Amino acid sequence: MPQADQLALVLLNGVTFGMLLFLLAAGLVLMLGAMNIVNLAHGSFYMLGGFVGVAVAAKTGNFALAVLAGMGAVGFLGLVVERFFLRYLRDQMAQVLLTLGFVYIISDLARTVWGSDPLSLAPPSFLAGQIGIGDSFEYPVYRLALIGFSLLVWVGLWLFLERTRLGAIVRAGADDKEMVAGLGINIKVVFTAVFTLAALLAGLAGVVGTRVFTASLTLDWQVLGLALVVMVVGGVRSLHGVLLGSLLIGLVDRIGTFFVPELAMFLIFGAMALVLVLRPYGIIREHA
Amino acid sequence: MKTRILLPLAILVLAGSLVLGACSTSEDEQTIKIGVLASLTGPLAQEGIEHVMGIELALDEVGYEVAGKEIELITEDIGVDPGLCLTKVKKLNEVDNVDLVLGPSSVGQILAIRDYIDENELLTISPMCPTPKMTGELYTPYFFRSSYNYNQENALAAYIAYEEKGYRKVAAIFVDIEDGHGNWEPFKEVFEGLGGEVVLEIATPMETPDYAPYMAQIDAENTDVIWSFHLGGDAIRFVQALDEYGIKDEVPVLCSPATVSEGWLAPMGDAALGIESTTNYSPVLDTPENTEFAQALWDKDQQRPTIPIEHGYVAARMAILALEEVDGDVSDLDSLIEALENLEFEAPRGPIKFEQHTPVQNLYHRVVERVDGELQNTVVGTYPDIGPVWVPAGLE
Amino acid sequence: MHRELLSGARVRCAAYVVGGVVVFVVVPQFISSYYVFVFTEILIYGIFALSVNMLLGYAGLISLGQAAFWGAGGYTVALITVQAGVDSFWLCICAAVVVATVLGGILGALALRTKGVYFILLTLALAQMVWALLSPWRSITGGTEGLYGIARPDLGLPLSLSSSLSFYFFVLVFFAVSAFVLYRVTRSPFGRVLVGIRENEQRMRALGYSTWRYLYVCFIVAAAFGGLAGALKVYQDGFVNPAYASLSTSALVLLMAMIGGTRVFGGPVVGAGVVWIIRSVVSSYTVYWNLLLGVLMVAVVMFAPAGIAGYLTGIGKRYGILEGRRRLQTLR
Repeated sequence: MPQADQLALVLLNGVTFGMLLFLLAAGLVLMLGAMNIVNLAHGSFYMLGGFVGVAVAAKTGNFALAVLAGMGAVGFLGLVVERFFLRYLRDQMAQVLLTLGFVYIISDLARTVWGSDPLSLAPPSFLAGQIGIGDSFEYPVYRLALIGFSLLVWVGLWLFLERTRLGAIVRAGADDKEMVAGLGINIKVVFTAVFTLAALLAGLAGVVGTRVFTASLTLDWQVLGLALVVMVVGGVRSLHGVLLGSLLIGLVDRIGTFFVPELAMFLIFGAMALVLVLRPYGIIREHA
Repeated sequence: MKTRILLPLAILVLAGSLVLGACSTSEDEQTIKIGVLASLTGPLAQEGIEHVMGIELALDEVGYEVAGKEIELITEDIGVDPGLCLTKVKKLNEVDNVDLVLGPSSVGQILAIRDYIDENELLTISPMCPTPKMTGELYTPYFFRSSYNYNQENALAAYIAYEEKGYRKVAAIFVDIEDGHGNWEPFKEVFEGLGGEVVLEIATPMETPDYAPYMAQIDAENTDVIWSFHLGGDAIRFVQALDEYGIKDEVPVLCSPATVSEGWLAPMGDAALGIESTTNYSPVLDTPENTEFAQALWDKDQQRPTIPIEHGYVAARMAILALEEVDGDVSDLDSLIEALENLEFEAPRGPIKFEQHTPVQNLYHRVVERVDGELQNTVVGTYPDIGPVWVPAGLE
Repeated sequence: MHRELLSGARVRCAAYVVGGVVVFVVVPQFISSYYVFVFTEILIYGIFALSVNMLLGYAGLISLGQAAFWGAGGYTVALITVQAGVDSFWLCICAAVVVATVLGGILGALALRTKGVYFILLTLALAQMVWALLSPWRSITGGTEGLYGIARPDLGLPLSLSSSLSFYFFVLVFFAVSAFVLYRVTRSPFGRVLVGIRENEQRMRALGYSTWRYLYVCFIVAAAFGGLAGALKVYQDGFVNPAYASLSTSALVLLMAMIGGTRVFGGPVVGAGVVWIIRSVVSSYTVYWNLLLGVLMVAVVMFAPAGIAGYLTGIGKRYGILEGRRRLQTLR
């Protein structure tokens, strides 16, 4: 019978994992909500962020620089993909399939540059080590920091969407492109900005998540699968829904893994199926 | 379908097939063709690339020539999918007409082609494929390997754990794949057979993003040693989790060599220090043969040895020596097989001979240390003459 | 009388038959058994891609989960043959199709409750669920390595299917039948309604069609043929593993349909050929074949959205590249 502190550890892990999933999915939600695009290369962006971050950290020994580099590289890639490719495609099918093509391209390029062995990134020294929780067990500081950081990102995104002009435009653009264009706002630039922002988020998640996931070539499909499950459960267009969905999936996964490790993967998708049967548009549904 | 597509397509296919048909290479008396099946793309590519490196070094040493005949090497990428491995072995055999094959590496890949090599009498020497099935229920006389099988390594590891270290209780956490179970079962059998107890046994899903929940299940006070089998990112995360949650400070770790493989040892950092493992090689093995091998490898590729490179090298050596033995006559398959079975030579790992088509060799007990700023598997014990069916005395 | 016999349509028909016989029947007998093997795989993936295109090209639905049916068909054959030890080919094939169809019914009912982007996500998530089920059950499904040792079907006739060439003709029969059936479906009133739904679902509903039912049937049909193709693949290779039902397999078959052309009936088969040749033949010459697939996909989407087959049959040619794309988009 698991003891109280073992359960507490499992729950805490669930929250941490959930917050990391949120970081993963936030960018996807942004893109989807604003531009109605499913970016299948989102996992690839994440993976690339991780690889670049590790490489820069290895060269400079500076964690902050690694994070910026990862974000910057992926952000730039996102900018290029949107500006020179996605923008010219009107049809959703074409857009989705284009991003699929990029999955193969990014994967092979990553393999060429970084090889096939997995890589890891050490946390900055002020975040290394453990901290005592109560008096029963120790918990890695880095993971606690990850929770805090993800919450900051959530708040930041929420503020952006609700309180800034650009955010309002983004939300409006999701509903009614013609109206926004009619107001004299260059919707094309807005879309490019949103896509780039989403890519920046993916790159950021990729670097900070390396401690948990490690950078490897299998990440692209793996991460994509998880992020999409979170979105399906939480509600594809709602930021709060994504947070809820991430936490839910994170907890289900960690608790399930503790009791029945062989069925870990199945539990995540099973939880998703359950939600789907009850609420096909996700737990929180905005703009049907 | 419209004419526009069918007509040009038909012409294209016709022309293409005639060209391809003509390209199907014929047998050449003066050339020995060796095919290589290796994963050059995908997450396991590093191992495949290193196998090829070892093979090329061995062939380079003899100037791509044996018994007066030239050796032609044909390398095929088999990716990750065992289906592609089957496709490529057919290509090597039916189009390139190779005389023997070096490769593949994983269990899935060898199982995919086992029936094919058996039916087509295609001699195959693998630098890996440690599954005992290939010398057991799926035996085929055409399969050899330069590596080991699960039994020999893990039986010895269990013996060392019980008899030499005095561990009595083991907690096992390993990846839920064929290799994971394949390694654990012999360890468990010997450990329990000697009198030990398994206090925890968890098979974790592949690509587990987070080992924290499993850390929660380890009862440090009731465990003498932790056994693991992990690959790649999983290995890194597992070892780092052991360190992060303070478990490594309380319980020693004895694992399958895969977990501390050189491919992912460096990213683990200091978390890996002190982990023990048992296998047939370590890049820092201090013998004249290994030093010479390391030097040759450095001169050619500016690369330090790793287990896959050594295994690839030995697989190619096996082929070369056997071919020399039969004077380059590849048509007499039985003699070639007999030559392989009777081989005995000094490999970088030490002396090697064969039993059930698998090496009988020294096994080394190693521990991870940091030497000259780099992590390595330092050899701390040598156990000679361990064959594929070795068990500790008293457990036959 | 004389004129009728030599009319344009007749000559064209004869050209099809002769061309078809040459390509599919005569040529394989003269090339190396390896290329016959590759050709067989192209046909099998061709069936799969055609089934996916029923959803993609005709109904306008992007399903990221078709590999679930390919895997269901494959595992059904493997389970019956290896685990239950029953050797009957016809039982296996029928079971494979039935299982895939039933699965299609279940997943379709769930997925089709949504539209557009949600549908894409749902199909992916549902397929992932199927995939996640296949790995843990070591004792039943063989775990991550899958099941091995499936022999070529024993038809009870005096011919053996173990040679590449004989198995090729065996698959060819299934391919011809599947292609014919699916072709007739697309040319039928049912098929026309599907295209109508793709163009403008609201209008179709206003006209009185129960669009959900049409899409549902289409989904099930696609699942059934996907299962058939998966079963054939297992007989071709002799083993099955969880990768059959993986996301990357679903993506690969979408790649085939798109590159080949979603608007020409035979397009997906051409796409299967191109993708498979890159994977099996080109990969012997370069390690960058994945990159090549990605670049090809991007190029097709950007410059030749009608796909290779679409381009060859004139949609692209008639209207030029950009004009063709704009025309295609207004058609959507």
